[in-house]
Amino acid sequence: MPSKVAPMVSWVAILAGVLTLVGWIWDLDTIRRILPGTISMNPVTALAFVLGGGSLWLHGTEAAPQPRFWPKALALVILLIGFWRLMGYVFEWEVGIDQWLFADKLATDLAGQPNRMSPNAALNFVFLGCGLLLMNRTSRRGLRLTEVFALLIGFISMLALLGYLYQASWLYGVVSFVPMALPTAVVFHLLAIGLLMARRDRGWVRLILSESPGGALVRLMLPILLPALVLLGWLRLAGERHGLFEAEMGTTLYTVMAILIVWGLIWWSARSLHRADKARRRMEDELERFFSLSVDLLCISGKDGRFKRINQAFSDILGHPVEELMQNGFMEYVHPEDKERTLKEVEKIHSGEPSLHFENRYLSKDGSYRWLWWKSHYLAETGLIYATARDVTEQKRVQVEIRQLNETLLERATQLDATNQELEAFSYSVSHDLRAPLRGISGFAQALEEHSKAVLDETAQSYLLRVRRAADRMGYLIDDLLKLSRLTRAEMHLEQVNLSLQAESILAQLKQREPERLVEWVVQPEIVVTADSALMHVLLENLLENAWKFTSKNPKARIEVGQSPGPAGEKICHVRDNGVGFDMRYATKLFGAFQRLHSMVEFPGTGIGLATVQRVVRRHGGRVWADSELNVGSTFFFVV
Amino acid sequence: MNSKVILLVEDNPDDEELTLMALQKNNILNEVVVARDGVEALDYLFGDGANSFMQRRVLPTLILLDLKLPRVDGLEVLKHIRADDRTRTLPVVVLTSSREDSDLMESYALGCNSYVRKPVDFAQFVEATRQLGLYWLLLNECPPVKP
Repeated sequence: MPSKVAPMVSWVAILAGVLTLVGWIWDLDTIRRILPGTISMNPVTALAFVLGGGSLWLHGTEAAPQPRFWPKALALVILLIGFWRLMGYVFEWEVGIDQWLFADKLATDLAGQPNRMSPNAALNFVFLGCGLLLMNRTSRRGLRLTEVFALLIGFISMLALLGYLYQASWLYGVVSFVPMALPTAVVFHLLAIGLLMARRDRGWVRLILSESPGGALVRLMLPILLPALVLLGWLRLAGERHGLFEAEMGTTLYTVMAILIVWGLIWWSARSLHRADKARRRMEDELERFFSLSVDLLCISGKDGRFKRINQAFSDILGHPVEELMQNGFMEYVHPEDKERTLKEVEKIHSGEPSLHFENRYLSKDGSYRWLWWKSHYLAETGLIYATARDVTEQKRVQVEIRQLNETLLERATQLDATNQELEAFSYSVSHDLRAPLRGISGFAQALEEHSKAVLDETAQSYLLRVRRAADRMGYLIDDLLKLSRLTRAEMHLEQVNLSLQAESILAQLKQREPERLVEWVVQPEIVVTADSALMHVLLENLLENAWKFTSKNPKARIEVGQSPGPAGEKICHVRDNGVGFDMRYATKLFGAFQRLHSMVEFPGTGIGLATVQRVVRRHGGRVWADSELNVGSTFFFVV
Repeated sequence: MNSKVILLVEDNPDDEELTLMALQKNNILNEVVVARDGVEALDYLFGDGANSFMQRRVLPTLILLDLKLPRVDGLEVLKHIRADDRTRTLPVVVLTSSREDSDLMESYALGCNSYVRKPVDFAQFVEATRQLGLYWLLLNECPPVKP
């Protein structure tokens, strides 16, 4: 981030120079002198400040384009002015360069004191010129020198400033009693700061401004320590001058106070450093713990293709000792077929592209290869690759297994399809081929009966009747079996089915078929389930036909259809009758095909009905059960 | 004597006998021509043999068609009947043991006029035959035949 301090400082220097010159032109004392009774800024000094500010501003910030000629030319002019004036003092020449502007006014600036550029100001200009000349050097040395010059300027100007503060004229006048003006000292001090701040992203300033504990420490201590010591010195001087205490006492007080302040600051900074270090170490420990704890492989590797650091997981998963892995390049462990791909990927990572999903095989101690899934990131600052890897061997194996299983499943499904088709053909054949001979048996038995009625005795005729009945019954059995198989094959369409309406219509049909029966029925309204409508109709038909049939001996027959919530919140439907019921001992046999619990004579039927009911329920993934008491009645429950 | 001819397509000799018996029992005394498989049926209808209907210049008034037949099955026969202009309008009653939905659907899709499943019980079979004869030979008016 470019600093705004340096340009601001350069503008302040330029402004101060210009204002002073204006003050000289129109004799505005307050502007060129600031403090009454002190010396004014020399006009040539003011001019040099304008040049110096300009040079600093032209240097600009690093983001701005670098002007080559002008800043250096200006710096050189400043250097020459300072150097020439300094030579004059050293060799006691009359150089006159500082008398160049407003010569007549200079002589009478202060009584008994001609206005000259002070030797320390001339020295500062030499330093400033050198600093500005060296400023854009990219070498560490150039930068260091600029910083040294800036500190020298700051130091010399601070001496002058302290001199004014403590009213010690030899401090701002140095030896020859040509004093540095107060505004001059201030501007020099600012320029020193500007020089330092111009390259804040490098050198000492970077440290001071950094986030590190060191930077924080400097930022906190300097603003306390410097003003505190200056204030302390001033207090001591003031006390002595007002006769509050002697010089010995003043020095002792000053030293004690300074020790206290410095000691406090040192203690405070030591404590905060200690805390910061403790926190840092704890964090390091935590990271270290996670690093060694990780199930996944974690590593840092260099451009030389060697691991710089790896965690225990590497050794756990691959079986090689950590030292061995660190010693050899990692390519040594990569599967020969994966080497080329891996090299390409490493190259890609080095170009700064993060690698989020890369898989290769690593040789493990037992000679097998483990599949590793890598996620890597390259850090240009350190030139290192940071990577994590997961052992996905098992996953890969399972994937292959699943694929194989799927293939087997598909094969099975095809086989099943074929079997189903065979079954279909079989039921078709049963339907057609088995019925034809039955019709023959029944038909010809009747034909025989009619044809030979005269010669057949009663027993023979009853035999023929039995033949026909048996054939008829077999016909019904075949029909019911086919119906059952059709149930299993039919496609299901789930929808909201109103069982109440279906039950009502079935009961009405039963009544129509046997109008002489007196049956009372109660159907709870709005029993709605999600199911296949056709299948539910078959289910209700079978249950209600059963209820109808088995209540035939009861003169007060009653059939109920209802629904109630079950323990798990499901809706349990039921069909209840007060018929003959059955023995609960045989309840388990109830839903088998051709299973009958009553004699044919008593209640005719094929024994397919409840098997059909169960099949419907199973197709819906539900369940069916019954509760009964002999001669009291039965209740059939179902959930779909 | 009725001049209307019935074509019975039936491969099972028992069923053939029973059907003839049932017709007789119901006093349906029309001539019954029996074809014992699909090819024979088509020969009767479209062939140039001596027994061919085309040769005799008379078409059957009613075709009783079994579905499961050797060589060419009933559905195929039905397809041919409906495909030919001369026989397109002939009443065809499918008379079979099967009640498979697929058979029913296909038969009607191919244009059968009626689909009757033969009952096992002979009495019921006789009754069914009676109703069929009554309806198709007496009650129902067929379109004029153009041999």
